[in-house]
Amino acid sequence: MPELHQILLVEDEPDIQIIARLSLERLGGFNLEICNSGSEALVRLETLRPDLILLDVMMPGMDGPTTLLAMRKKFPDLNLPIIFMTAKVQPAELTEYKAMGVLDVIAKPFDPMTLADTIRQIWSQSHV
Amino acid sequence: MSEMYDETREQLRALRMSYGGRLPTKVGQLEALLSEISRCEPGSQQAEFQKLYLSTHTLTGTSASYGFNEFSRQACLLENYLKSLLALPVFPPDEDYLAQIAQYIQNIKRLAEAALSTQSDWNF
Repeated sequence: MPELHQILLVEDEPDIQIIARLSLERLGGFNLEICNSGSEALVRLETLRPDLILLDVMMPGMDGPTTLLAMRKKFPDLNLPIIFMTAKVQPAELTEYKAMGVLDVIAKPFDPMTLADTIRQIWSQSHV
Repeated sequence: MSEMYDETREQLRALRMSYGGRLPTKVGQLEALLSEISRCEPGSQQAEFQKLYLSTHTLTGTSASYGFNEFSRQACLLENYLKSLLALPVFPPDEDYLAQIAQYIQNIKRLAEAALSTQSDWNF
């Protein structure tokens, strides 16, 4: 199983970024990079090679699913493991997101004390 | 390890206080957006409505993330109402939607002002 070291979080809300940084860097020991939008992430990925991308679904401008499609189009040769994060987890939407080939969908609000463990668990299960 | 967890909890509580203190300002931003909408011609309100909807969605999600669950539940009512307006085939609707939105905002404004005196819904 490849090691999970660097995570790219794509999230427009600064107050969520702060909690995520505390949770993933301090508690999880990950190296966290943050982009404020899908378009910023597309530029950042020209040079950054994260092990995992945490992608917020509802963002102004380019939303999560649109960003995912744009990433795959721009970087067709890259393996980009992605986890969606969303408050909108109706069963139909969950199925729709998983059909896009993401590792999983994490519901918001997340528990900052256990987010890192949740991500490690998803990572392990996706590499069985 | 447990010391690190305790310190993190302490930091999270401080962040919660900071966020809670800014809630009235955030609700004020919704009021300002509504005021802008009320100045637009009904036919050209869609873009402003979208902004109000996204801002409310953010407030709903982030407030829950900081353990202000009752505030988040009330904000979610506004979010759902705005979503239903945006999904209408004909806009604007006949109903007095601006008054309805203002009422929802008043409800969350009250909760925002009392936010710091409410107990955290975080489970730690």
